[in-house]
Amino acid sequence: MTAPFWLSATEIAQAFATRTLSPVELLTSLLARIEALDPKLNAFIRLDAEGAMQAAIQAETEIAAGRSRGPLHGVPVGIKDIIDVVGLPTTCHSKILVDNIAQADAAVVARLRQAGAVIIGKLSTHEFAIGGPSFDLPFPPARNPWNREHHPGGSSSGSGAGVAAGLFPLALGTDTGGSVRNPASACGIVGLKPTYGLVSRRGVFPLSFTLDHVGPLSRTAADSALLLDAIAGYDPADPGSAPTQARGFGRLLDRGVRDLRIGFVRHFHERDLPAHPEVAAALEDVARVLQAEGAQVQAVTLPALTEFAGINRVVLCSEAWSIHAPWLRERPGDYGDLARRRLLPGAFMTAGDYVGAQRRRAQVIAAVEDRLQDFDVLMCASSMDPATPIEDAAETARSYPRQARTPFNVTGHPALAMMAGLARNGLPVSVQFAGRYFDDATVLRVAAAYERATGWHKKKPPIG
Amino acid sequence: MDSIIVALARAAGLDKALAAFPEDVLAAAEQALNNAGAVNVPADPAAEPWPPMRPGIGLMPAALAGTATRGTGR
Repeated sequence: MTAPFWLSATEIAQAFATRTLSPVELLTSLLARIEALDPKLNAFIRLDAEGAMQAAIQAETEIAAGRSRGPLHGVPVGIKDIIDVVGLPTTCHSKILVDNIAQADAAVVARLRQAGAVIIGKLSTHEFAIGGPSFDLPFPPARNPWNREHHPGGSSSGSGAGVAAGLFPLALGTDTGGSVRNPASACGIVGLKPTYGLVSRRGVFPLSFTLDHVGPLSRTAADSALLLDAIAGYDPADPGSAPTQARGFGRLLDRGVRDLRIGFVRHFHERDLPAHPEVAAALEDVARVLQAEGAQVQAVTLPALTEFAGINRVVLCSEAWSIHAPWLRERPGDYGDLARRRLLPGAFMTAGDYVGAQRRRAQVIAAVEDRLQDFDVLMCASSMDPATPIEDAAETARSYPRQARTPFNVTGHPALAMMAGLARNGLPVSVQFAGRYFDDATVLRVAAAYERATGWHKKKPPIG
Repeated sequence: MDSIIVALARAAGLDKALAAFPEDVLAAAEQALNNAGAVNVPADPAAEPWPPMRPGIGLMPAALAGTATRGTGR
């Protein structure tokens, strides 16, 4: 029998329904695992065991009384520490906000509570979702459960490490340049950046207004669909929120990929940023698997990665400067070295740089939209390398920008990264799927088909 | 350090950073110049930026517009 801490959210819901597991039993199992493993992984900034137990008891009472709120009722979810949870600190993993207590739940947290989810605590991040992994912050950096000497990706580092290690089945992260999909890639799980505007960002500390997304991390595609169902929806208090009725993101999970048209963006990892050979080989294998499952896979060309990366950097730095300028002026020494160095360039960008990047952005969006007329889904690399040693700052600085995630922050299309194998050194390699606006369900459909065909999601990191 | 960079940093209010972290300020200025060069700004004068210019939140009634904030509970 599978240990409770390795159950997916989907399996947990089934176990609750059949009374073979209760929310309190599940949480007790997870808290014991957190106590044993988190000192090695640093996934948590603040574990809220007491609040989580109260919520689990309430869920147990309601479920026993036949008042189930749905599939997330009683299921623990970890929250990245740039997302507000009322009464808990939102530190952004920074000395700047180390005493900041949230006065209200973020919209996504409020939606999770409505669905009956159990908020288990606040999770490590790169400082302000940009500066990390770092050792000069108030809290230690999260580590990769596949090899603790390696980084777990970021900036949603605690979300990725904790889900992969079985500390909680679901987590929320945020993604401005790939920060949900990077830890999903590094930790061998599933991370989805939903369509821009699908999930409210109210109560999430901003990094870059036009690039920020909130998204789920989980061990299966079905679980990401469940979590997205709970958090998606129009929010008039988020200026970027889309008035869409898109729902039922798991409705296509069982359909397979027969006759889907998948565009393979080979030039990202072959020409633009040549990938590690094992990553390149894994991508070829993904294409073979999807073809064997009935998909039509053809090469497709998008603008070069350097185009997307340049736009992303100018927009991100400019918008982040407008947020951080007061602190960078008055408290530059209270930032960690990496965050300070990554945020300061915005001070030197001009209004013309910013508007020029946004004008070019409109063109590359049009180019991707044009390709998506001919393809249902795009497939490409996520990270070009397996995770590097966390204490090798030079290697991290080299490898972090070697990725193909920023294109879909620039365009706002839904994009999902997931495990596509293990490198010889035992660390996960990954693949990315992207789709049409508000067609997150088809992206999840492809992910689920690949998952069923390969079973990579059943691999567990050698920890605990 | 280049006097123009020093002047730009002071104009941005970065006197404290300039004193405590001059290497970071210099690297930031150099990176900003490189970033701007990495973007192929459209030659077409009519090419508009993203997000599109549309009447939206700014034209909403004040009561609704007042709710349009992301906040972080601080």
